[in-house]
Amino acid sequence: MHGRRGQGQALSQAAPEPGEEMLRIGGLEVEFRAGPARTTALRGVDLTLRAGTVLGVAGESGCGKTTSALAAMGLLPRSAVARGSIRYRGTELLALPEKELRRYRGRHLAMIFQETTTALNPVIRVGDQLMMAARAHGRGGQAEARERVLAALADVRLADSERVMSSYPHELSGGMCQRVVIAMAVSCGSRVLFADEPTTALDVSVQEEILELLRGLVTRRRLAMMMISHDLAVLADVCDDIAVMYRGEIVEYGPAGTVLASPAHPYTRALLDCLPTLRGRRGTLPELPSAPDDAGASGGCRFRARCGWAIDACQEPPALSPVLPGQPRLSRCWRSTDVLGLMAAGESAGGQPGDAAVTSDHGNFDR
Amino acid sequence: MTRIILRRLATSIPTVFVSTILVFALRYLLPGGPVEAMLGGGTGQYTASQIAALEARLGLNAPVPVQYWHWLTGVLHGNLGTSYYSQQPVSTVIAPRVIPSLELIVGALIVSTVIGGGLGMLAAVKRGRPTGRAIQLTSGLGLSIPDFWLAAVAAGVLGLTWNVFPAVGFTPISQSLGGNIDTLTLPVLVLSVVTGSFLARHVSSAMASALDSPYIRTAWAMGLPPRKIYLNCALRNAVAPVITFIPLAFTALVGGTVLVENIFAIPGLGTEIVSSVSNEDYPIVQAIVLLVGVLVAVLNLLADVSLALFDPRIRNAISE
Amino acid sequence: MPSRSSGRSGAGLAAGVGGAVLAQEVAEDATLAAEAAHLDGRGTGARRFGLVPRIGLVMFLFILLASLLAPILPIDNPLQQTLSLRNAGPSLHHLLGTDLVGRDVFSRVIYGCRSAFEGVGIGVLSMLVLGVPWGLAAGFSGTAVDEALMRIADAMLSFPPLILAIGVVSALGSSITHAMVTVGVISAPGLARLLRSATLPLRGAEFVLIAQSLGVSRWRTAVRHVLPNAMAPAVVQTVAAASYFLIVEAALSFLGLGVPPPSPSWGADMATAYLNFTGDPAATIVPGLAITIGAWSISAVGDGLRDVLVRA
Repeated sequence: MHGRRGQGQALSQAAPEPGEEMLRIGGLEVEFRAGPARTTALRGVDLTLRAGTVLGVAGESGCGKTTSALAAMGLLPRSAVARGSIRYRGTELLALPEKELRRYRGRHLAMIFQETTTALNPVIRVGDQLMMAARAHGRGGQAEARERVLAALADVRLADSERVMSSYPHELSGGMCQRVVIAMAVSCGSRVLFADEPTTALDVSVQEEILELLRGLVTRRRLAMMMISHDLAVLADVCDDIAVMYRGEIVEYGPAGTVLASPAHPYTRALLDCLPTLRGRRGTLPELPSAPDDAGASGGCRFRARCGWAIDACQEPPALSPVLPGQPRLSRCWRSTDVLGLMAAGESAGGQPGDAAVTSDHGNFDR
Repeated sequence: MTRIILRRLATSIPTVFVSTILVFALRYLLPGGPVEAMLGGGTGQYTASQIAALEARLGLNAPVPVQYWHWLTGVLHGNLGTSYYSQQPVSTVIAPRVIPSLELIVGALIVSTVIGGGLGMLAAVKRGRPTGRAIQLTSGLGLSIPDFWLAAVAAGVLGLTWNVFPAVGFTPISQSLGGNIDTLTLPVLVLSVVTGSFLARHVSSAMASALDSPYIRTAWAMGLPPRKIYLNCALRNAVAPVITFIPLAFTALVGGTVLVENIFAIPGLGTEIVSSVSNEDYPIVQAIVLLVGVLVAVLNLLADVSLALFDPRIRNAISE
Repeated sequence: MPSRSSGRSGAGLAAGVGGAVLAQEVAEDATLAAEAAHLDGRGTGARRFGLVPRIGLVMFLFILLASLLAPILPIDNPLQQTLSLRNAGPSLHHLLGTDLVGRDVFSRVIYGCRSAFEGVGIGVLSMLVLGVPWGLAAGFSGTAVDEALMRIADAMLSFPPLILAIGVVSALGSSITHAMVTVGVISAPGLARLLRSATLPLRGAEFVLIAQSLGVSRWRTAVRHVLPNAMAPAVVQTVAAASYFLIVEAALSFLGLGVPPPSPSWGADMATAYLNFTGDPAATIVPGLAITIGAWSISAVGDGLRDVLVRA
């Protein structure tokens, strides 16, 4: 296979090694401007995506989790300004002009969103849309593109591809549409996939299927995936590592199983506490107090106002630092060991990375 | 396919009927009653018994629905009554006037569709940027200007004062194509301003919301080239507003044509209807109103059917 | 490059004479756009009565004031003919010149505000008197009545309003009342349709059922309970229609089918002045400008009201 032109293509033809670093986001800052008003969406975020693994990004609405993906894809609105570094296999994406960046979209980096049926053009047949995307990235002709599309449809377990191809989006279910979009990304040859709340709009049973499908694709095709969700249950199933974000910063990072079983940051703990468990004691669900205005933040830890663990020291903003020496776990909290300790002191944390835990049962922890 | 047409016909035909009923009912508004409409004005010259005899002869003693039926069948046979100003059959008076008006309306439709549609798409693609804003501003202006004022100013300045285009008069095609275009340019342009601005807004908002929709975002995310995105994906969504636009524009243009014809002295249905009103030549007025009503209903039907054929979602919804 | 659009799609309304239907379409469009903008999270900005609508309101009040104060202003009698000064250009005494029988154009423009208001008022009243019960009845009654009423509405809506107005005026004779009642009646179906679609979902609403079970008559229920909920879009539409009425009245007068001479009327004055365009262009342009500003100011106020009242 020969690249059409441009060294960007030739560079990335090689299939990645398992665990190879595919996307490295370093010190990413994003600001939205609306006239004189400025909103900071991301304040220095570092994330790495590796082939064959899934990184989960969790947090509530507005924490900036989608923004980092959009920044990598170059899909931020014109009112946004991004600084920092986003390297795809060595190439600095933020330095590329739009025309160059476009060549990476689909072919190397792809993104799927929450919308399912509406993610596809309602007046064009599904098959035609798939072909359009495939042909935009192919070197071969019609026939070769069709091969890729059919292979991708098989990969996403959509049987009866003929029928699917000749249908219109509104004739397919939400789950099928999401599979089609995933197939589109796959048929373009993407290596890095951003999935922004891909299952939120789907029934619980269909959610499971799609998550399983994604996990399988990641393994088989050595994709590097970032899965964004506010739903920790979803992330627990699928992710190898997890980054928890709050107000534009990463507040905790580590292997998914460990983080969810024994969180080292009060926010993560609070999120987990909000999830009902099948086992464990009954009682009222704890609530996170509502968020005060960010404008009032006058230095110090951003979570301070809602944190049950806050102490005087929290007036100094903590840095993202290792929780325990030797472990690949980071937390942005002065009291991370305390938070961690409470968990360990309580009923044992179970959970190995990749443990297919029942979604409503988290690390067996009780308080 | 035929099912769609039939279903649309089923809903449109009653509408056409109601239009004809409305027109028919207008004659009852005349001070002298329908007799006045059927005779020349001035029933005062007849005695009461003469009027009664006339009523009997003209079939005005029959119940109203029967009168309506007689009138309707007459119309369908081309009998639109007799002008009492000229004593000619109405159809003969009106016929030669249809072409100039049609030229104006069709010309304005074409110009406003092409220019308005084009500008609308440009405004959508460049939304938020200077070009887009400029188009929004001018179309807003275009919508707010009364067309007869624009016509008067254009005719006065460009025609009477600077003599760029003729301000009055009309040269039929049979006489000279160049002259025809010359006399029609200014009126057509003036007419197109309002409808063109409207279409520009409509298309721009349809296409802008299409461009902001999730499936276009998917197209961007999958790296499709912008040209393909704009043309293939978004454009298809701009077609629907244009189809619905045409009957609406026709309706608006008819009103505008009346004024423009009067200002530019074009011998079409517009000037005819106004002079007929001053002459109290009621049959002509009624005939023109009827003609317009039916045309609009037909256009609406055509637009409905085209829309149904075009959008697969509607097609599916209908064939259930 | 995907980005959020900031342009609004409906600042003006179709002022073309056939524009009732267009005006309604644009108003509906703009309502949807405003709702979409609100859902987008731009709600806080859209909540206020914006700058442009404020300007419109000021202009409208100015015109209103002019029409009320006209008799006491130090301007000429608009009916007074000074035959020695026919078709005179602008001068110190006659700021905009005189018309073909020597009347002062400037004072006729000022007095013209009155007939403009009169026309708009009659039109709006007719539209409300017919449209409101029509819409409520259609929305509230059963399917057969609803169907029939809506068929008639569709038929009327598809008619070019000006043509229908001409038809009626030709039968009844030209007077501002005839003309504007006709136009109001023609616009009523538009309002009826709006009210009907606002009423329909409320038909089975709880508070309606409760009221009815307590013995309140259907009519009272409609007026007291349903109408307030449907008011916002109805108000916006009525204001939009008012803007259109101003123009239609002017157009009909322009054609000689509205306000009979010698009463001052912007439309009629434009027509007479046009005959002498080269001699005194101001006499044609200024009344037309007054019409444009009048119509625009009303529609700007309507836009502002829509932003404030109509919400997702």
